[in-house]
Amino acid sequence: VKPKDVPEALEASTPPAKRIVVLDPAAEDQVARAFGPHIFVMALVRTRDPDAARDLSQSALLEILVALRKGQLRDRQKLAGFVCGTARNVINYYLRARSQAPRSEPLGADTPSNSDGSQVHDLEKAERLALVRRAVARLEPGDQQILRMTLNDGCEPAEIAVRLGLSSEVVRQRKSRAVKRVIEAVKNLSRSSGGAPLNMDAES
Amino acid sequence: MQCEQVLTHEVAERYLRGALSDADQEAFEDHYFECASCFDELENLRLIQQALAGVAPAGKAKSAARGGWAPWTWAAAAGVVVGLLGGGLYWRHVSSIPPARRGHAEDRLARKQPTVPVQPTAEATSPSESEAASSAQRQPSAPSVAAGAARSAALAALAAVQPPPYAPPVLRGALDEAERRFRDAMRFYVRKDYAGARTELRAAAELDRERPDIAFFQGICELLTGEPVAAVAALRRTITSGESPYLEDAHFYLAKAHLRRGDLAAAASQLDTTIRLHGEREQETRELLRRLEALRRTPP
Repeated sequence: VKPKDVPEALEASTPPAKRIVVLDPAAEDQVARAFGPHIFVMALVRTRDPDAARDLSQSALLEILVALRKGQLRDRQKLAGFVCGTARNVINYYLRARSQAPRSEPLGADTPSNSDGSQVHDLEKAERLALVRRAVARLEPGDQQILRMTLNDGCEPAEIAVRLGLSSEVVRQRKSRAVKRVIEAVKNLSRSSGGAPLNMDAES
Repeated sequence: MQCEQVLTHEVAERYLRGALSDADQEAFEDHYFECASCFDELENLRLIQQALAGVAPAGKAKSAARGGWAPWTWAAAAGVVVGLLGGGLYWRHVSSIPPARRGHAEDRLARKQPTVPVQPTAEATSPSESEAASSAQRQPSAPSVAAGAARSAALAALAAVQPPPYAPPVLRGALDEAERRFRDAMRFYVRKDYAGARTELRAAAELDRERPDIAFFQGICELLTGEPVAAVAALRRTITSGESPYLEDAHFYLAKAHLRRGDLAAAASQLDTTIRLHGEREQETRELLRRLEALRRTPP
């Protein structure tokens, strides 16, 4: 399985020397669209800071596109690995620099938050999150709590089982079922609201 | 890494929680950059996580999960009964020991908490903990019930918590709601009103679940008010939030929370992690781990 919308310009048949020529703005946009979300998630998980993650996604994408323009990708099959490795280097560099810098004071709620530069993309994300919120709100309170304890509190199923008086297996089943229900509900809500199709095809 | 492995080992979920090893984290990243279905699963979980962060917890979730009392409730009740019996015998046993052989902490433990083993002990200084533990271990020929009570007292001494100090930061800029609740909480905290602080910290954590300072002090307050399971969850959040000034302390107090729950293996593991961080608590933690290992070697 490959990421969606990988630019045709990066097909294996394209000679490396020509890539700088054929990687036009549209192809660059496709690279950004295909891998931007992956880089953002990687940065978010590693930094736990949404604003820093957005900035890092942009920096990493810029670095990747510059490298592609220079023809540094020799094998098209390795595009995903190339993007992943470059993004990881950018994020790790940031983390190292942050750990050496003095700690700054929090600035407060009126600090403007950074955007990834694409208002359409931001709107899509906001819409998708709103649908997920509605779907989560429809879950039974017990299922909500299991998901919260798992994803937000970092509890293992055995620990949740003890706290809720269930077996670990039941916790796993309810968690898995709850995730499926959210995905299904989002699909239904998306269809009924007439919105754009959401990228939620996976049945975990 | 294969898709099947991702599903069966709940890798996406553990990745989001920051619970994977560095090698597994990189392997999963390499995988999801190439695998659309695994990335979709990751995105779904991330959005659910984000959505849940903005939803107040359901008040009756516990009863919704299962009607009636949970097994741990019964276990806790049974523990209290056993504690009352064992503690009474221990109280009589301790009373027969000359005061010169008893440390202040043991005396205080016996006076304040004669009934419940591994009960939250609000504050104890390190020398007193040490005296209580070693004094409790000095009774090898005592009857089995008293030996059990002595073990409980030793465990309680190991699990004793000295609240970490809190210095308010210099105010700058506007405060968001989470920050406001956090500062309210810490006003209770510096007055040693840990229950009041816990309430505010829980509210602050609902508003911002990613801030390590909120999660850390929530964990401390949960620990000090007898909620070790909640303390474990909050301290884990502190740890999974990554590098922060609270990382070493979070591992240390997580060990204490595991001790309160009677999970000695998990406590030893956290103490070991604390030592490997080579921070300010290294020596203290080495001593605590040594005493814990000694306690684990004694029969229950």
